[in-house]
Amino acid sequence: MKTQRIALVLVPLWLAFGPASAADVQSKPSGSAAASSALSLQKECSLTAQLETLRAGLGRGSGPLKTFLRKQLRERAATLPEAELRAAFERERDPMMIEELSGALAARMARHNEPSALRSVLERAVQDRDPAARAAALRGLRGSASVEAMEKLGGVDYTALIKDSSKEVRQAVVANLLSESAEVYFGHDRAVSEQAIAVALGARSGPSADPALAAKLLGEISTESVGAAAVTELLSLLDAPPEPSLGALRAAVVLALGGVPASESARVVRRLLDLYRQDDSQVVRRAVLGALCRLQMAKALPTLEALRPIDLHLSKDIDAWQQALRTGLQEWTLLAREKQRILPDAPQPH
Amino acid sequence: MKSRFLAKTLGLVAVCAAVCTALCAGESSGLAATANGPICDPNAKVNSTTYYGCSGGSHTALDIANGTCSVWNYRAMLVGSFRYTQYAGCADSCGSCTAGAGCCNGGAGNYFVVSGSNGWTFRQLHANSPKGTQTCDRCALGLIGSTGNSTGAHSHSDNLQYGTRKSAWYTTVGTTCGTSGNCSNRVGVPTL
Ligand SMILES: [Zn+2]
Repeated sequence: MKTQRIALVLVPLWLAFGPASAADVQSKPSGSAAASSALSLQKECSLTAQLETLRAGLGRGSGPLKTFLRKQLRERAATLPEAELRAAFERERDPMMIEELSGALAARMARHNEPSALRSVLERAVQDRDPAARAAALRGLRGSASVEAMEKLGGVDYTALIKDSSKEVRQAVVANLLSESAEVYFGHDRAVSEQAIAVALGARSGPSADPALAAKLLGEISTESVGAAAVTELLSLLDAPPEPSLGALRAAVVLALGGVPASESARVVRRLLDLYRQDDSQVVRRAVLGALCRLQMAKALPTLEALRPIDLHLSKDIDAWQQALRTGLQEWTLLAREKQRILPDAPQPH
Repeated sequence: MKSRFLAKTLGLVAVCAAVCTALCAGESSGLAATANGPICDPNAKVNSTTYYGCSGGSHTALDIANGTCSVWNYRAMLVGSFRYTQYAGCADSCGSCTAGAGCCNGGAGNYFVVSGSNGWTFRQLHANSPKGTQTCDRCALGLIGSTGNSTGAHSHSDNLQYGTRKSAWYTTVGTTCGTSGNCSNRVGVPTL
């Protein structure tokens, strides 16, 4: 009851003053009256009170209330002093709230384009003794330009964080990279894609090896703008002898190779044709068929026909891809959808 | 009997799916974003939408101004972090376009593009003092200005797929001439 009352008081304050900025006029001081009244109102509505409302709402509130309260903090973060927000983040011990405060610092960074707001988040993601706190700090960065911020700040990046002994932290690394690539850059950013490939390479071996996560990352990351060195790294992942338990990882490497820029496609196609002959895993071979269609489009029609005798179990897949290619669709997402319509993939075990 | 019915039904489903694929092929989907006004000033107003001045020639974009030039921040409009790629090189201007240097970058002046999926883009044009390519959430891209083919300082924003300007992103939320262009007001839901 108390929670709801506080939320109701906060709503109009945020709607009226949340997104405003006092520094928008470059030379004339007009608009300062609105800014100063916003500041005096914010004093009455302290960050501490807002955080307690958020804590209670995340614990007991409805879905929409949770969404609202989280958004409210992230919006307000732009106008709060960074030191106050950072101090609240550093004091916090509850992973659920650590994630929200990390998200607020990330939102502040995004609004002002100042990566310094992430310094304390990254320190905590590396140093906190509680793995749940480390993971929560990282999850808060989802949807922000965290790869670029880490590069500007120097020090830690996701290739170091994927070595964490906690699976929850490693999962946060992969989820952040995938959402950042897809939602912030729509798959177009070279640095994020290349970092994801480096992270996947790091996740293959060592004491914190996590081939399933490496496969998830490579299977979903966009590789449309990666450079030649990253393609070479991906190809090197296919050089190891085909270990049966790593079939999903090899298939994910193939999927990633299917999306590389046209300038890289010739050597990738050659390697994939060899792989189809050498690697008898059905999941790998299915991935090769899709990757060849993506790289070659209509030119893949005879390529697929030439592969047909190698594995008759995959004749139906080859038929489906050829039928999809004959529609003349020129966009990969549409072509892939058409193939799914003709012959859906078998559900993958999880 | 039963199997013939089944085959017929499946055949019908396949035909429907094929028709849908053909119809939908030209309209591959994107994500709906939210766009707020580009100026953090309650005086900022929309003054052109589908037609210049809402009654003139075809425009299919939003023009937003607050009657000042090179004074107010030109804010990135999309809510959330996105990359604004800068295309600049035009000298600051507060006047009208005259053929030549004033109509820089094909008329767009200093401008920013957010490149989405499937050929969708969101653009913001005519900035003065552009700050460079940034990945950010509603940050200052430069100042409200009049570079390129522009008569008086304003923000021009548009949402295109494969280079064609679309109007649904602002018509669906009721934005028209006179709507507030303040940065706290949602003016559209562009596709990216
Ligand atoms: Zn315009």
